[in-house]
Amino acid sequence: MKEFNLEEYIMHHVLNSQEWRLPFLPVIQLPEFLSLHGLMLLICAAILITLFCVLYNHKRDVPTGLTNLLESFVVFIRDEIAVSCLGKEDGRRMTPLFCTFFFFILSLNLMGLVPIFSTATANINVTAGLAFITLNFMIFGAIYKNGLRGFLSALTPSGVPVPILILLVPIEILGLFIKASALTIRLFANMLAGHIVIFALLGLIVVLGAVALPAIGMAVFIYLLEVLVAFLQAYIFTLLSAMFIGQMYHPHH
Amino acid sequence: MEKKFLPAFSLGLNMAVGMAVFSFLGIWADRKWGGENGWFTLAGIFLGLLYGGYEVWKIIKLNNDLDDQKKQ
Repeated sequence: MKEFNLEEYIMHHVLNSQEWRLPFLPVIQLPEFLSLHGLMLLICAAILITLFCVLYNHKRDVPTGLTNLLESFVVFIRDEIAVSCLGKEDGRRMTPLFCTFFFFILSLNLMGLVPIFSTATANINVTAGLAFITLNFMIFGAIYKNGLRGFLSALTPSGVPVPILILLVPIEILGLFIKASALTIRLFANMLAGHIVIFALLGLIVVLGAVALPAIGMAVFIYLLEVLVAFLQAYIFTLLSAMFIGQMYHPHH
Repeated sequence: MEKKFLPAFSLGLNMAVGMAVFSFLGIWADRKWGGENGWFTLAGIFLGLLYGGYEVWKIIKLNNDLDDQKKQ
């Protein structure tokens, strides 16, 4: 019998690959241009399009059921995240972006908890792509809104002597990239860590035998915690994106 | 959540990533320009610390300004 390798077992479940394993079915080999996490992104996009274009009921004046649930999230994002960080006018204009961020990340996170799917947000390339959108709004969105002069004035803190500005302005410019990197790492690390813990606990049963059966209870606990983390990380990513974009759009408020 | 607490929310990881970025830039510069004693790495770590301190200063200044506005 082949010796059980715990590290290989964990990494096989959390890393990207070219094959999709479904229960009771032969392994599906994915084409070269599409990895497993890429496929998850497409499935997630399809789910969201179905949710908002097909199942969402536009016709009724008073929303009920699923429409009500989705609307409560949208209103929360508009009022508590977009408008509170960007002001009424910009906030309402930017709400579609933040709704997209929130629902896309939330769906990817929750899909990672369903056994037949994989967690695309535990891939640093996916989170970096999302943070890159925020970075573009922080730089080019701010230039579009305030002009180049306004953008540069956002990078110079008020009430600081000129010699210190020589040091602070480069740090402030690098700070833009640091903030985007922090966004990337925050989502990626949180999603990856939770899944590694679950698989490590389940792997203990194979390594230690029946003695480690309580690990199942622990794994279920971490799994439930992951449901909370899925919502929390989607919220935090959206909130921090809104805050960083708001800081660049309205620098002296 | 009160608006003034928002920036503090991301402070921890921003400081950590800031230090890591500046340190890696320093390591890269040491390899490229051959600073044998690791001066660029040390400078990178120092800049990272400075960045962290600067972020804290900005949050304190923002909160002070908001408090002053409230009093007026």
